[in-house]
Amino acid sequence: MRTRSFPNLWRRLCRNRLAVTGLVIILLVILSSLLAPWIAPFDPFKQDLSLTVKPMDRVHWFGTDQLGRDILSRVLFGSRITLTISFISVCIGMALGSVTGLLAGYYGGRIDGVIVWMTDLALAFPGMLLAIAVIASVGPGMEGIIIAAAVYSTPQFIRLARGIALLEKRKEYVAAASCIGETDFSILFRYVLPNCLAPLAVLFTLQMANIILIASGLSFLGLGAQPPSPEWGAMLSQGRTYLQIAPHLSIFPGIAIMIVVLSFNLFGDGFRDALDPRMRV
Amino acid sequence: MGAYIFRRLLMLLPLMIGITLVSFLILQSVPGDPARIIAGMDADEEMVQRVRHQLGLDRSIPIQYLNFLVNVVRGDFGQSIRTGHPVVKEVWPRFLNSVRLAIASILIAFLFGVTAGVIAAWRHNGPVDYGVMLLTLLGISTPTFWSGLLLILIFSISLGLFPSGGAQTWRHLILPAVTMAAPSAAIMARMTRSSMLEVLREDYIKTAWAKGQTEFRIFINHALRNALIPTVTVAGLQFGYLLGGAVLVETIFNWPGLGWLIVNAIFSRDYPVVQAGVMIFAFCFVLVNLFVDILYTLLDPRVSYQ
Amino acid sequence: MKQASPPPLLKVSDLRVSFRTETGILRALDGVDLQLSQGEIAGLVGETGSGKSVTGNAIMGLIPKPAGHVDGGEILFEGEDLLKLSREALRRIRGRKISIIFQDPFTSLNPVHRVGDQITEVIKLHQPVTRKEATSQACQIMEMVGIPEAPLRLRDFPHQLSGGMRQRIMISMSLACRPRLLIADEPTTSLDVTIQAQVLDLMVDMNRKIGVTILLISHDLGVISEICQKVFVMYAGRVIEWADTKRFFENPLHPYSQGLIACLPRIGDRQSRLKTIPGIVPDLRDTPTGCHFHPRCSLKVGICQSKRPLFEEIEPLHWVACHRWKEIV
Repeated sequence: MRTRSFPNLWRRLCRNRLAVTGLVIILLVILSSLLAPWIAPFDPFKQDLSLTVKPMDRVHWFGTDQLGRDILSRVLFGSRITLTISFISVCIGMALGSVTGLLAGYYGGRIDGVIVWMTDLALAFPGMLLAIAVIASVGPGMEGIIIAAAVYSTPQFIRLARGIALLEKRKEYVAAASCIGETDFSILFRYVLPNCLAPLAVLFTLQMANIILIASGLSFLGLGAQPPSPEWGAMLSQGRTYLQIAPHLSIFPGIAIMIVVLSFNLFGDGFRDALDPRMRV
Repeated sequence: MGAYIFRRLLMLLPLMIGITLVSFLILQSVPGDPARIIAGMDADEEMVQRVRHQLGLDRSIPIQYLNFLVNVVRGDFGQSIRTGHPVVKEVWPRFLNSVRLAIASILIAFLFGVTAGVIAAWRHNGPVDYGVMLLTLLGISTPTFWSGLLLILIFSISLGLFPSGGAQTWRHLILPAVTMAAPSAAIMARMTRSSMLEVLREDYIKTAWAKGQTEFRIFINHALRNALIPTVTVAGLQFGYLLGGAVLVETIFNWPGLGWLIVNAIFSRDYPVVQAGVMIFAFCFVLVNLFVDILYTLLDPRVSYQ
Repeated sequence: MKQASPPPLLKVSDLRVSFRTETGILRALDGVDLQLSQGEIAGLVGETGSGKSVTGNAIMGLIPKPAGHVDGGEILFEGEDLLKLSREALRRIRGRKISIIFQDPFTSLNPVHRVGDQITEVIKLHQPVTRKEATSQACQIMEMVGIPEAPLRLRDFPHQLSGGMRQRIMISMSLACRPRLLIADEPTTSLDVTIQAQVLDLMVDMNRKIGVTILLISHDLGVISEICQKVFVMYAGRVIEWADTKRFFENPLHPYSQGLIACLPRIGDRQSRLKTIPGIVPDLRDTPTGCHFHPRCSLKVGICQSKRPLFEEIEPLHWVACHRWKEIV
């Protein structure tokens, strides 16, 4: 039983200028990352030791890094890494988390108790620390970040889905459905899940923002993407040594991170506002 | 009240045990042979065996965990593999440094965040409100390891006002604290603003106007006093995140905190340090949350501890 | 016609208030006229949406901006037009000369302040007293209002008190500075029937003891008939009839008032269906022209649609705004 109508939601979303701006930027970023091989002026891995740490000029719009690589190209390619890692992690988090949360909330009992304990445990570690602890176990690298980010993300989805399941299962239409012989599975999927979709989507967007920050933070610390990968956090870290003479090595990757995270936050905020039936006066 | 605190601490026990379990499992889930990793890749078999026996890795896992747990309770976190000193000696002073940084950050964040939130609510839907909302959005979207570098660039390198590394004087504290405070301040500004807007819609605010109270007093004594309650809770949570998330800022500013130590320990495979560090931060976080809960009962007279 | 007595304490003339909404401008008050003399207890009765609460708020200067806007009219209190006063001057009148109490005593009291502090707050706002003096004044008014063990109650929080007690606290707060006018906006609606009676008796008592004029706003004709000496009937943003209470109930003149009274079920009446007034309350974003009631009136004629009826005194102290009062009488 849908309690929110989608065309209404869409209309409200379009009216929120900030959300639209966020969405547009996200789409632009995705587009540029998909087209990177064609629009990037240089090969992001090609070194030119005669042109190291050059400032911004007409050839290299963002300058070159310590190995002579074009920063603009690296930033463009870096978006692929960032978006891919984050998207995969949040998808895993959402899939695992919402299913677990729904089951826990709906069935209750001891399963619920155990899941709540595990979720509380995961949330007892401050986000970055949890991710670092996971990396400590599985080792640095791309797979490490994805696992760490997924571990960070899943508990939030569990909490959300469980909360909604707890609310919905008390409602009368659920009792009615089971009276007419619907299986639990069917009830969960046909009735409870659709009510979760919108808040889950909002959480997805906001988690993307968080995960991008965490993933690039891990890479910055050296625990994530390894050189010569053009991951933004790693680039920033390498640029640190040259901060005094060539700050642009670190500034541009940082701006990139900020813009992408900002756009997800903008869109997520607008999305959440559009969902809220209390329209802002 | 004391009995209430005691009861809450007891309820936290399963969580605390879980934290030690997670910490214990860090070492266990390392791919490969932990003993060999710790002993070093070029160590001979005898050395590896010795390390294995020393760390008790030749016992069964449940026994290992029990030993681990008993040691933790006794305050014995083992010895650092890198330096050979007791882990506690290495970890404790670093932990205190992290706490100093976190406290400075949360104070700055609270001050600026709450003020900004109140002003935004006061001038709701005006340019100031939109400005604050935009600023907070920037605040939560900016990676701290980048804003820290920017601050170093501007204030250390260009203007030479503040040092860029180390922790000797109070001047060393300012830039890292401000860097960390920014996202927290943004979150608290948003929280305060939305909380204030909700409170200002309440009937008792109308009563205050009807009594002939001044606008300032209505905002501060009546509205803020109520709106601060959820904000303080958020501040407590933020403090916990500041403790754990400081690692990035500590790295940038060479601040000798626990986060930095943990990351270094990961690189040098100094697992006892990693375990101890993770546990201490987690315990701290849990205790801070408990403290915030108790604070809540003190701030809101409708909530009584039972 | 009797000679007019001393100038009225409160005289509202042609008060117009509108609200800006997403779907249009809502004319909440479209020319309200009221007058109260010192010492009276008057009732302002109307359905939900008639504008009675807005009237009360407008007198206090509590219309929420920027959505709300006073479009015109006069509110003469003790000879001064409240609409022309500065913010600061108005602030000094609120709580001291004119007070208002609201419907829900629970949400109207600040949950984190002690009840005693909330009462002394209004005293200290308007009088240069010490804390001790303010506290003793608070206890004084609380005792007058019938709150037992007043000094102990001072330290209570609102959630610790019962509904009736909370309303008494609200009344104490509003009367602490001995105002000349008390506006009571649905003061008994959210209370039990037994407590309702107590609160009404209390208001009559205060009117006698302190001499405070009371404007009782309610949708409940029963409550109005209990304690009010005068009644004003509101419909769709206008006052359409006002009279001495006894005369009003004996002889309602406006078709709307007649409908209202006819709707009251009487014990002993054998009815299968409750009587209603046909039609619905107009949308205040699109009010009818002329007399607001004409779409639902069985006595409607052409002029009712084009011209707004003015007040005429049909019998002593009985005024009605209807083009067809001659046919009714």
